[in-house]
Amino acid sequence: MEWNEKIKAHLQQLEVAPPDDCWENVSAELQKGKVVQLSSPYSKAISWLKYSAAAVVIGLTMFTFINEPFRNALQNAVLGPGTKAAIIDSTPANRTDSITLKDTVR
Amino acid sequence: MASNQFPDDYDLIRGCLQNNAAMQKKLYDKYAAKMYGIALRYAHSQEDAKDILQDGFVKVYKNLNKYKGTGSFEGWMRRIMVNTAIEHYRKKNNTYEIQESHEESITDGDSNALDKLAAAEILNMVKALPNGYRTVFNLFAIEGYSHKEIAEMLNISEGTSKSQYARAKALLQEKIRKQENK
Repeated sequence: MEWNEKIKAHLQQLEVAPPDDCWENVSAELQKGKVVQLSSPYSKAISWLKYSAAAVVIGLTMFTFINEPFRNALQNAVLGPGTKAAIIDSTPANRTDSITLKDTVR
Repeated sequence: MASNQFPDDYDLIRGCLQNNAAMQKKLYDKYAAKMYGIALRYAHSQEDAKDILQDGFVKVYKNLNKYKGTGSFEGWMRRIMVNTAIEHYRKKNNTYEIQESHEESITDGDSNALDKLAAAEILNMVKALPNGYRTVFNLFAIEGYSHKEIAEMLNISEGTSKSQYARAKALLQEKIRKQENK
């Protein structure tokens, strides 16, 4: 038998029992959840759902900022009708009062 | 360890894909000794071999869903271990030691001397080779890759792969001769 063939025969099917702690380390790595996530058949669907949900949230936020009628309607729906008008109306009145107060002090 | 005391590969793979911890352990028990044998051939120390084995097994479990069932499962695992060993040394050494750029003539050694040695003794001699020589020697002589494939895998020239193999073989033959004369 040729030298190369002999050395191959010696080493190719070599079996050596690994130290005991090797399995503990592999097992600990598996329990970190990396493998569970990757091998789950639903993992792809779940990640797509996450991306879709994030896209919807970002889209709605941008739409709310850009579209004023929608923003007002949303504000009315959350805080009750006429809330925004009440806030706007109250501001000039206060300013007038403070001017009046200053005038009184002078 | 006799492999007939374990479930067949199909059942082991299916169990592991369902994250069955007992099946994961059985798969490890069935192949750990063979894979550690590979890791030891590529590693310089026992600690390195342990790292290669552990990283390799984690990759096996992670990529089980990519095993198509074509070719032997053991062969698929062996390739993962070899690639892990190469990655390990690429990370550690950055580049492979290039000590000879010219091609050396490969002489056939005394194959009778090999008969007198145990596998463990030869393994120790292989482990004592410089990193680059050892990797090329394993890939060419044991795994059966061509110099062209090795050059691509290790990002070296085909000539470097040939010269490293020649030097590795010459060093091994020298060690075997010395051992024989002891």
